[in-house]
Amino acid sequence: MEIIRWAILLVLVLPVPFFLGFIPVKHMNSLQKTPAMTYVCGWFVSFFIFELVAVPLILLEKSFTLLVVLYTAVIGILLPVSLWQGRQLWRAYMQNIKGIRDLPAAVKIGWMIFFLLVVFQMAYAVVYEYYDGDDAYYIATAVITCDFDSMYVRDAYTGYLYPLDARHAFSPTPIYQAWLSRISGIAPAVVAHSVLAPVWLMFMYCIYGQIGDRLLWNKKTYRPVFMILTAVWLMFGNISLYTSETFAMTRTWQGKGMMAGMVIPALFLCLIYLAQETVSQGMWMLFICVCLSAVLATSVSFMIVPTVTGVAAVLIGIKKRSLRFAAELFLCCVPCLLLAVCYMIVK
Amino acid sequence: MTAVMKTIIEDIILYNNKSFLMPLFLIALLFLWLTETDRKLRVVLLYLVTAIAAIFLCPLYAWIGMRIDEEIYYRVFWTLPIGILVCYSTVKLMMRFRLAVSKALILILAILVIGINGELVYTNSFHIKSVNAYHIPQQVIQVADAIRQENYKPVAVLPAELLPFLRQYTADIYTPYGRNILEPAWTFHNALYDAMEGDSAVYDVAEVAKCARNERCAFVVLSCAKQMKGSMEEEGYFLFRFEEGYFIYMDYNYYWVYKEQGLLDQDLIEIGDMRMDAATVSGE
Repeated sequence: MEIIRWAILLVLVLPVPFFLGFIPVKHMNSLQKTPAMTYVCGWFVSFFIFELVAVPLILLEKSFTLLVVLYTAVIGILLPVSLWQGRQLWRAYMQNIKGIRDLPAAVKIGWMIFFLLVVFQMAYAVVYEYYDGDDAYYIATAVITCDFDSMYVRDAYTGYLYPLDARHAFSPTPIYQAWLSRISGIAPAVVAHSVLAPVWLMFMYCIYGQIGDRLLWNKKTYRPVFMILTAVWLMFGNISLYTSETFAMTRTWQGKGMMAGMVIPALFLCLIYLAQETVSQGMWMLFICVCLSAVLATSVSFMIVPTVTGVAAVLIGIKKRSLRFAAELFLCCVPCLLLAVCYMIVK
Repeated sequence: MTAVMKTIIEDIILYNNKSFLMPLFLIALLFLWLTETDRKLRVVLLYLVTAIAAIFLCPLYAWIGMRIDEEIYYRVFWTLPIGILVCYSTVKLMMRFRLAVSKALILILAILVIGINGELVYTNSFHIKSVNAYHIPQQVIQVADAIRQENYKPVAVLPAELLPFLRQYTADIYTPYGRNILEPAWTFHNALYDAMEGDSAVYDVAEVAKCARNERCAFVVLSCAKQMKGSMEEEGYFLFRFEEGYFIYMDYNYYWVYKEQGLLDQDLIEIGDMRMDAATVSGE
């Protein structure tokens, strides 16, 4: 029974996001049609849908079971659609994999060093625990959600009923983890600390890998160097408690860690591609998903996402000499702004 | 505005913490300003990064941001892709050299600069080898498993060191206060907490028992690392279990009520009745 639970959980965090990524990746250009980009897109599609389904139900104080049923149904419907849509992507992935054989030996060694660094970091995340006081709120919220079948209406610190916690309700990362826990039957603390910590580290490096692909699109041999440096940078970025590297490496499973480690780099990944002459539809899809995923991660996104998107819209609009493009770019963060307005009203 | 500027500077100092990484970022930014020729990349990596840095350092923007939440304003610095710029600059610098040895030297030098000026995340004292998949101390699991009942969710008070972890493991136990009381900045107060933690070496058992009853705690968990002034048995409690250095006491009043209602697990009933019999015999 335990093996089945673990198998379900691993399916939910590995192939499910990968398959969900087919929809946006199908509409991307050839450089972007990689397994890593698919995995990245899949996670952000998952977060996007979860935010849209969860927040209204939380604010209406509906049961967690209703959310589980609705979200699982949406994912259940999307998965076959996504698999059908992405049936031709396998050829592109195979070409990607075949390309590895043609790489020079030094580059292959470089990639091996990088993968060893990532495996070390993932193993460390599983074998070692990191004490963080905020888990007493975040993980406890996931536990209480599963046990009491309610969302943000009980004090995570005591278990007693209290008025809806509107401050956190818009960023329901713990509820997402409770969903993983409910479907798999594995405890939320185990899901967060022993599964999401290493899996989201891998997810984070997939994002950086895509950034490296774009920055060094015509210098393939330097990509592993960029990735090794990134892995070293993240390991040594713990210069204070406040850096994005500290959050990304030590609190990977929390919304804040997700924001620092995954959402913000993904935001830059999208903006780098959006600044190109031709922008694929898939990249627009990913950008919209990332903007809303930022809200799922933390309420600081209400300030960060519109600011970054707004400035990027102006600068890229000027570069492209297109007011329309700037407006379209800014429109992508409108759902985030609407949620910010709701947040202000409810708070 | 002066106060806002002061807070921004403090945030930067706290963020950078005397390391060389922020200056390294500025060097990387300057280097890319001079060398990056891809106009599309310049827009995002240089103009956008410079513009958002300027906006986040702008006192008016910071004033608005701090009105929302001053404590977390530092998180706006996360949007500066410091790592990406430094790593990309290093790669760009490597590309300027033809010899493989020179390229390798630059890479090694860059890793050394990052390593020497940075702080390895794994040397952090908050990292310890985990003893279970929950990544919480084993004694929390033992204590929680002893207290939780099949048919009802009791209220229990625990020593401060167990508070951050208990509710990560189970929601089957209510607590009169949680980890929030450990944060001095949040200024929560609770008489039971004061009784439990006021003296770091001794429990005033009478005070703990009185406050625990006021908070409707069926269970009181006390650490064996502290002395007890008085006896829990004299206050109407019985020792249910001793788990991993923690005495777990149950209030007899709750014991009888819950037992009558059929809410207690069999192992608890057996021990409760046994203790009661022992107390009766010794009383005779």
